[in-house]
Amino acid sequence: MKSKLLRAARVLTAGLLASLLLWSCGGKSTAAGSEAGGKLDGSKDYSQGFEETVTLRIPVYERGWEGWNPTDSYWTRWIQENFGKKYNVNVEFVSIGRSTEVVDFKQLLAAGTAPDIIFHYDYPAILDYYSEGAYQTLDTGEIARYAPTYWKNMGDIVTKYGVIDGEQKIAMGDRIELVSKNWVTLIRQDWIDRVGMTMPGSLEDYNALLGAWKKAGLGYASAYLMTKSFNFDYAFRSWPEDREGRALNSDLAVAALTWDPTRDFLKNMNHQWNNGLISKEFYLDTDGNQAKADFLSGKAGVWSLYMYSTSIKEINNLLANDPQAKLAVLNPMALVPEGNKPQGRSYWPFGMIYGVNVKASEEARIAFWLYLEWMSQPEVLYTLQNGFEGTHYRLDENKLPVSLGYTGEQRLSNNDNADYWCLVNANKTYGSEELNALAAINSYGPAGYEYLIRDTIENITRYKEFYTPDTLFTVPIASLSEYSGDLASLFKELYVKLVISNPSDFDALYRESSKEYLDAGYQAILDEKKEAFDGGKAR
Amino acid sequence: MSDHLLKKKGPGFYLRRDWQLYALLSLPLAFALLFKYGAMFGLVIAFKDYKILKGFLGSEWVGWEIFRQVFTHRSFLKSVRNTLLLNILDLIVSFPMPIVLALLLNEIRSRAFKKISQTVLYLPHFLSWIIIGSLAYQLFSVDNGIVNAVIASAGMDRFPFLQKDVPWLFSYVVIGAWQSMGWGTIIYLAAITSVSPELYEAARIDGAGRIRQMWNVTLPCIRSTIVTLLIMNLGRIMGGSFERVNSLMNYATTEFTSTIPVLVYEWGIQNSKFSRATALGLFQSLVGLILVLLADRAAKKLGEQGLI
Repeated sequence: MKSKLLRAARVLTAGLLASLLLWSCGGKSTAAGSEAGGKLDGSKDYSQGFEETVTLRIPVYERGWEGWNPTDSYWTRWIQENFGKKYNVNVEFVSIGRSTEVVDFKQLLAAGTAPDIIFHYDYPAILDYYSEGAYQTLDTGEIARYAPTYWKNMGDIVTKYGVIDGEQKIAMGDRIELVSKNWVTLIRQDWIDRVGMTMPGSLEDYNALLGAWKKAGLGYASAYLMTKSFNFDYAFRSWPEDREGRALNSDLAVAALTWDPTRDFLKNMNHQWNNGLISKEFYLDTDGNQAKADFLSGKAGVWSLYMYSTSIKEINNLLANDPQAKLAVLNPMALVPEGNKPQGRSYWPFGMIYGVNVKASEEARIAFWLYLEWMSQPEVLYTLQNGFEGTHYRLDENKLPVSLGYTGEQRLSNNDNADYWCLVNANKTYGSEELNALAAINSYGPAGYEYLIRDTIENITRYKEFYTPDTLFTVPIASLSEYSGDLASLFKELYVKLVISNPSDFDALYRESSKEYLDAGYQAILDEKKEAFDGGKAR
Repeated sequence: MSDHLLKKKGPGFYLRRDWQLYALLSLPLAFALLFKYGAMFGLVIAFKDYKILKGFLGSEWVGWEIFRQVFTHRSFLKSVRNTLLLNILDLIVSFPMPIVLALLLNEIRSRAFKKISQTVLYLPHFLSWIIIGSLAYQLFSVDNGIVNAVIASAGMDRFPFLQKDVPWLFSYVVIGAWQSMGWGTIIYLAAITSVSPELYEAARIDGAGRIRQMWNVTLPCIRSTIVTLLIMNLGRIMGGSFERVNSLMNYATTEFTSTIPVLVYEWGIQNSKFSRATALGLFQSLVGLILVLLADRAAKKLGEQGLI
């Protein structure tokens, strides 16, 4: 009996495995089948829509906003109503975590359930997806045919930047604003006044100010654990810029621990930490929430944020805790050591970058071009960005929309639906630099605090020449995808250790850490980038 | 005779007769097959250069290459050391705690007090580690924590409970013991109730006090339970809870926090290095299996029943 039972168990297990196999293969064969379906040679034209409903799966960022479901909102239904119905396309939104996007996409790709479009704002990540084989090769003629307006706007950029290893693999949305107008660093003006000082004009002044705050028992500058988007060392870079150093080291995906600007940045942070000028337990704050809480509760006097008109909630929160609070925008020079320039990162001249999933059907791909074309129509884009006149906004004397603070069922998302229209443009545009600035103040400025955005824009304009984009490599840097994840966790470990070390141990510890970092893969990245750079594969 | 009958009536007979029982059994059996055995198929990627779009079957075989990468990775030895260190410390501190506690609870006379203490002791077991982790940081923060506020107001120096490597280790073990000891008593209390009262009577007649009775009667009677649990715990010495380390760790105390489960999470979930994470997980499971077998053999040598 025992052997019979054993046999039964074996058969059962085998059956289970077989069904698992069939199931995983089954997923693939359907996808392949649809791919093979009728190559169009001018005979089939979908520009008026599809006979049979086509499902188009579009990724959308999930940013964890309270009370907002990005895959099912008034605006997803509006898109279905206005675009989907017209072309017989069922637009399905797939939620992608903003802070976990690469992992999310990779898991969806592994499971065979990835959306038809795979996107990212940063080029190296796109190259990573490409080297996984996630993208189909695109036919520029097809895009031009189905999305003429989009192609007129973006064709040049798409053909210039969208070619990887000699093939057209990706396309992108536009970007007008190369430096974010709403990334604002706030400082407590009332605290500056209380210690009888003025807005700092250099890092040395800034540290002196923080020291005076500490002495007066006011507080410190907020800080949190840097976990990704490593763009912190700009103020410590030399000017005019060192082209090769930048090409090899300036990269959002991997921190340049061994690069001199990073060393100087960490050394300054070590000084600040040891003197109690920044929050002592910054390394416990992995998402920036403690930094925010510290600022709003009056424990910290400096805080950076992406400001929106909705930030008025935070400002009111601060005022409730401390009615005396006065806010100013930190002078960018305050983070720059004497003699350096206020450098910063600017974007490449394109916004969202995307390719078509290798498993997407021809119909889905064409539906996507139609979707881009529809969204590129000025009136569609304007409505998606601003809502309806009278409900969401009124027009001011410059014919620019001013938010009416509508919060009902039809409300826009916290970033004015940007996660839907990012496919065609990363910013709202109104025709001229001046109007764009005014509109940015209107839309980002919290009521009564518009000056915070205005001052930020003034700073950006004043120091425009010092903003530079990262070097764009046109070949995948394989070592980057191999090591960047590993290096990101090692960097967190090492940099925290360096910052909280005794200042007299800093140099020795830095040498040791640099060696460990290079051995863990950074040297390989530097070597590979250097080869690409010397070979002219970098822009 | 009975043997003859058994032969006549095949498994079909029993299936028909006790089908309700088999139906009940089928669910956990299906669970184990699907989630414990079905998933094993995925282990093939430990021997492959797994590319997400090529899938389990399509990816290239690379032999032991992935294992070579794992064993030569700079974090590997450290994570093995940490896994063993944390689990052995846990075994030393957290394993005896429930036994002591069960003995103490058993001696409580007031029923109401006993019930209340038991419930209060069980509670932490039901808290998720994420919650315990954030509670711990709320309580033990150097700047904002209530514990340090009390210490500071008593005129002493603030203490980095979780912010320096060695104190972190200490806090980790203590928090773990606090979380698990109440729940661990259940099995021992059950074992204690089955101890025959006559043994205690006899011991009392021989003049044994409370402590003597615990030592000479209760403990020997629950010895096999203790040994069984010890074997199971030894098997986990290469495992350990990912949630617990992950929710208590921070980037200033990485000396002891990179353990195998954390590394598997970092490689597999955060960095999408699926092959490597699988290989490391497989290595961990194999070592765990060997440890269980060894512990089982040792227990049998000591005259206990063992597990297998």
